[in-house]
Amino acid sequence: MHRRSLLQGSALALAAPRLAAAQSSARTLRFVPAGSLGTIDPVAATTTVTRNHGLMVYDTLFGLGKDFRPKPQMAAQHEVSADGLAHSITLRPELRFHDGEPVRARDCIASIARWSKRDMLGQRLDALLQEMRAPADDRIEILLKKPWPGLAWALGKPAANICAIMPERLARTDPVTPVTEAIGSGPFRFRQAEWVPGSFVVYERNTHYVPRDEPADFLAGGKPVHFDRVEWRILPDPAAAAAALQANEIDWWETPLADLLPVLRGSRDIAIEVVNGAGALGMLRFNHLHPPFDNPAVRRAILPAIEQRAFMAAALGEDQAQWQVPAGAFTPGTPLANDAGLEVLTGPRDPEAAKRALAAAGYRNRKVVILSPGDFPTLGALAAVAADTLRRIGMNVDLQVMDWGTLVQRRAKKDPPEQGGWNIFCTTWEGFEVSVPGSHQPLRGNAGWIGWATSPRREALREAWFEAADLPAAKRIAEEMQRLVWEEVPFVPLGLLRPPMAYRRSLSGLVTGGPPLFWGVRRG
Amino acid sequence: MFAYIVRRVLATIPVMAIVALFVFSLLYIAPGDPAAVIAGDQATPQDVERIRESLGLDRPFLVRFGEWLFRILQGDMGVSIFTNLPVTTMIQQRIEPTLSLMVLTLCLAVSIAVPMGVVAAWKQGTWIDRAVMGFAVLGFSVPVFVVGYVLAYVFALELDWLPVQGYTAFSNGFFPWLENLILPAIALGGVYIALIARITRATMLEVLQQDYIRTARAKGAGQRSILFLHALKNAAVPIVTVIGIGVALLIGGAVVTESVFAIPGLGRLTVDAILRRDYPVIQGVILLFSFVYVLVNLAIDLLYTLFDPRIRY
Repeated sequence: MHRRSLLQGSALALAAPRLAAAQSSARTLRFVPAGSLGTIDPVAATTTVTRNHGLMVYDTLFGLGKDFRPKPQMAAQHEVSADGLAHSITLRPELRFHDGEPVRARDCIASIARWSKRDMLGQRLDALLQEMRAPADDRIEILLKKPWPGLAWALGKPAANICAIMPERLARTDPVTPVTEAIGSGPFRFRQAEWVPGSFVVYERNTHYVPRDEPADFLAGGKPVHFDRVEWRILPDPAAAAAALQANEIDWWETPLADLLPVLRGSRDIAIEVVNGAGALGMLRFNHLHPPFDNPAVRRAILPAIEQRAFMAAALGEDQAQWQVPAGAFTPGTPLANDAGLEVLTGPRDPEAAKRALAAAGYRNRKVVILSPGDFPTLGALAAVAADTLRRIGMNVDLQVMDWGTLVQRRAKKDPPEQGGWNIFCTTWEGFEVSVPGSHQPLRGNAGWIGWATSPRREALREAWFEAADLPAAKRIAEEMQRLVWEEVPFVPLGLLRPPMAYRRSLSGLVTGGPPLFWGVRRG
Repeated sequence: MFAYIVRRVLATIPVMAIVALFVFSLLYIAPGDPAAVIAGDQATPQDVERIRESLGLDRPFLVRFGEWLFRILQGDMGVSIFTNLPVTTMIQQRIEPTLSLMVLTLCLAVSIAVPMGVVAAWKQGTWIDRAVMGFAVLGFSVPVFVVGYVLAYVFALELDWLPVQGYTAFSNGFFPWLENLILPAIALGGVYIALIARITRATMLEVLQQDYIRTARAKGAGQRSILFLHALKNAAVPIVTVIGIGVALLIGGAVVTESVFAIPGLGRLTVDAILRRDYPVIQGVILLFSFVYVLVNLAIDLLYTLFDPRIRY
């Protein structure tokens, strides 16, 4: 063999796999999610990654549009009786599960029943439910003890836990035990055989899916799929993900690290865009069981020192397109967001006033334990600014950095801080979840969530919101609740985080409004 | 010899039992709660408690350990708390990339480091010797992830010769497999090459002073024959020992390398499992690593007899 022929042959052998990969990738969307898919059941698990998986595989009876209003999705029709107690939902005729079985009313009833044991709004339905029945295979009737105008919103809400419709045989699984098969009727099938947890997740287009004959409107409207296959590649190292995006080895990265954005912006092939406008509300949560934050006067005292801008800049950088302040108790930009009493956070910052208020509240240099997750840079940054803010007003702060696995166990402890408990941690809540009082866990006053805040007044207002007849009435209640937040301070809102996503410009038609969605998007 | 092998294999049983008890106890007392991680940020303590009960994490230590040990003895490593997949399945999914990375690194390191060490000893005191020793210091000093990032930047991003990340199974062809693994293997092999090269040089220097080498020279044996036939064979025992010890280095380094190059191997599985407190997976992987290490040591002991006929078991 001639030397030149040998070299040409070797070059072809080396290039062939890359050429083949390039051809197959035209019909494959390569996506890097924010984290690893651990559990495949979006009803049992609350993680956003599992929820995103759920939105691909499962359909929901209703879906929210970009205007945050519920619209029929699997439902063809939704009728409510004059007294508001009876909801009748008729299913679209062409719905089929991935195993080929038609979607029947009894599948929906079993799915709703399971979800209603797990989700906050679902639990509301459970409490109000008189009966759910299936008078026909394509019709569901939900009879309530009291009217609930927000039922369609709850059934179509995008925040975890979503009301995923699955076959009855799977929906009969205990709500806290994850189902082991992902059979839905959504636009994508989960390729369980190809799933490598922590590394690789594969979905293929559900060829039997019939989208609504409407334009895509976030979770409402049509869900046309333009890729045969979607691959989730879990790349825990941000530098590797950035390099892979630049090298055209992936198409779309959900959570590019703020520090790497300037590098990515430098490439003309890469777009940086805020896709999830609802973002996540940052907040500082107190432990209400132990001093000093068992005293509402101490919690109120720190408000004049809170600089939301500093928290956001530390978490996401100086680019204000990625965050929004001021932020009140409800997600900015959503219908119930308001500025009632917001001047406590928007007025001139006054650490000296905070110091005086602390002294007046009886704070005597007691140690304040702040928990910080070292493996979550955004939350770690929020905790660091919280520690600095409290130190500046004279509090004795002990910032304890640990990994997330340890933190979630530690914060569940009710013990005093000196015996392994805690005083403060910072977190973020998905914007959809904290946009309404019904699913706003930190706002609750039933001592249910971590921090164990109690407030009969907030609980009464939440109850009133469920019964609000219309949006103006709901807004009035939300304003009242927000004023109460500044008085009782169950948590401190720190700003709305809206981290952008990065994707190759070869993609177009991304459906905006919330988490990454894989319909509508196409190559070219 | 056969009796010796049987004895050594049997001796792994108490070793593995001690490792099992140690790992289980360590995880039991370590902070963290898989139920809280599964439940998510928004779960109430009641939710977490229900999940803990459903996973059986609320039962006493001895009961859980006894059940786990009983299952292990039947070859069942349990089920992942997070994915509900059998641990053996998860390990099977991940073993090929890690094994490939380790074997390629081992081959690369031995084929580079041994000649480097031999040449350095032969040319002792010259610039070649100093260059080899300088490389060895560099190999020890620069962390694996730094080498990894530099290689990825130069060869994948700037030159576009090789992929940045990922793994292609060997069944998809040798070249795609090699294309994905060559940079990680070089990154991981740096320390290993440095270690083997230094030991080879030191041992060879000692051997080259021996009388039989002088005799070989006096008999007119060629330089290559002296170095590789007479000297290297007699220097092999310490070199093989270091190669064996280095397997532990490779296992540790694979964790970092697999993260940098997004290789879906056992290293990443271990890290993910630790961060999420997925106890059955952590226990399974550590047991596997321990077992492999015990076997490697056994293989090294047996190899001694090949290189030094005076060694008998």
